[in-house]
Amino acid sequence: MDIKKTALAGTLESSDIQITLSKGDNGINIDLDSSVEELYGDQIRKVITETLNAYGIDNANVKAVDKGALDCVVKARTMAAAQRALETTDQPDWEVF
Amino acid sequence: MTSIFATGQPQDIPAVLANKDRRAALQQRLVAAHPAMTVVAAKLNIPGPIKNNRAIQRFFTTELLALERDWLTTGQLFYQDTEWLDAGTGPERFYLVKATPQDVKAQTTRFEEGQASHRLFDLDVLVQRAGQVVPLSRADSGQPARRCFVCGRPAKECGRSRRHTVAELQAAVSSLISAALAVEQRRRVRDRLVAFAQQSLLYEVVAWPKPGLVDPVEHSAHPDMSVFTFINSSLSFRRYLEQAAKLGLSEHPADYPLMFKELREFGKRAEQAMFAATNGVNTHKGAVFSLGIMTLAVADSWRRNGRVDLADIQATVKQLLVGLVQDDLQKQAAVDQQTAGELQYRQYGLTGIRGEAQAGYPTVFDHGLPAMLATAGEWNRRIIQTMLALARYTEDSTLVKRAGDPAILEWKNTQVDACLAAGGVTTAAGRAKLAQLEQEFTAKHLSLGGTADLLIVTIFLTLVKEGLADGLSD
Repeated sequence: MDIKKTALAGTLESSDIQITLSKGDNGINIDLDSSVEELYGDQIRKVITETLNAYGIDNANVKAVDKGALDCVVKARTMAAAQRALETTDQPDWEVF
Repeated sequence: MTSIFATGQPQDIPAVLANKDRRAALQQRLVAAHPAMTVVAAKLNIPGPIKNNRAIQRFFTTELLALERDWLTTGQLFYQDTEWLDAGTGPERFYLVKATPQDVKAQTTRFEEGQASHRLFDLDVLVQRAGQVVPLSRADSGQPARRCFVCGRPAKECGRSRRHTVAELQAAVSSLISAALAVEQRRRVRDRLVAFAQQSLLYEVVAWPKPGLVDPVEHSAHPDMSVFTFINSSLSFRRYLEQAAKLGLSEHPADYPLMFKELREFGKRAEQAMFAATNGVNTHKGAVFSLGIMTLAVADSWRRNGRVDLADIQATVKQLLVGLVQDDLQKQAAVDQQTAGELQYRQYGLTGIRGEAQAGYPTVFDHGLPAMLATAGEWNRRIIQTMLALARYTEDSTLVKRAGDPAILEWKNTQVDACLAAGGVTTAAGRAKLAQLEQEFTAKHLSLGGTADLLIVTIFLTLVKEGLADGLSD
């Protein structure tokens, strides 16, 4: 699936993550800024990549600003950004979640 | 201690995230609309599915008073713009403060660190950065990062790793909030007691007609004072009443004689405040004594029992005043410094207010209170009827002083009996007798000052019984 437009989800509050998705043509590229990068950077990248793949997104540029979000929050915010970028719906499909 | 998490609507992750979006949108709007102000978002960090209920709301609003007090004290102008008090995701409030974000951040951090329970607060100071509204971080203002309230490690680490179970976190939060609410409840009881005490002083003076006492219509028996003197006096020793209430409500050793000693020293300052407010006229010296004791006894009894227990209050008074008559009256004071009560003990063997007080105010508990609780209707009627009941059984030292002869007590009893037999304030005949008594007291220059003090105490206890009995469930 192709990203139709740049989309954003999440806030810069603590325990949240802000995901910005835009078009890319070289796989999933994640630019991660996290306050817990050393401990959880790889895990956050993994959750974002898996969530995007579940939507059939294989190419995207991802900007992620993390403020200590849990995996479930990373997933939920990535889903919201993906659905907005794909112009499917503004609200995430919580059944998938 | 029971958990505060017994009630409330469980929240799921989507609800919490949707609320974050709603909050971010409001914050964006507020920051854009008020460029000269600093936006502060106040919320709580409550882990687990329950994030709001009555206890949490009360904790939130009462503790924020301390933050507002700080702003008021430092002269920072502020107002509350928006409040989401009963949102399922937790209570929130948004302030606009006229100060730089850095200064406000220093204050909010001080608040968060000031008390153990304030650790649960999350006060975001919002700034515009690269086109986005973001909270100023502690690092921005050189503050150390937050610590976990369970184990003291950096909070971010524990939060991300889910090191602690929800049950563990809730237990910690519950005990922090419960402790803060207990302190708050004592503060509210204290405020109520002080208000009741001041109300009782004012209720007494405005009730009419009172033979031999000051009321708004007539005060011929006391030409040196008026109802206005009494209003000034009633408001002059608020601090003393607060000290009495605090003394009883705080955890303290059960050393009642020492507590009374402490109260009496506060009372001396209260007398000075009273004399300053009345240009040297003694309006409430007896009331300072008796109302202070009763406020202390009610507060101490409430702390121990969590409810109003009249028998226990009376027992507490007795414990406070063990040996009062002996200590005060049997020691020989220099004659020129003796009070009316001291002189009358020497001359006639009358123990006056000290005897009444040390016995646990039997006149109040056995005659005044039953009369007041049994009299229905408006306060004036209740107060005057109770005054008669008290006057009948009071060995009134002010009356004896004015008459110069304890035989006056017998005359007073006969007069009051006649008035009560006629129905007191509840019948036309009784009211006629009251009016006649008022004239006679004026003509003979007599006063019922001692009765007035007991009347104030009776009104106070009635207000306590009828107003505090619910344990402040509001």
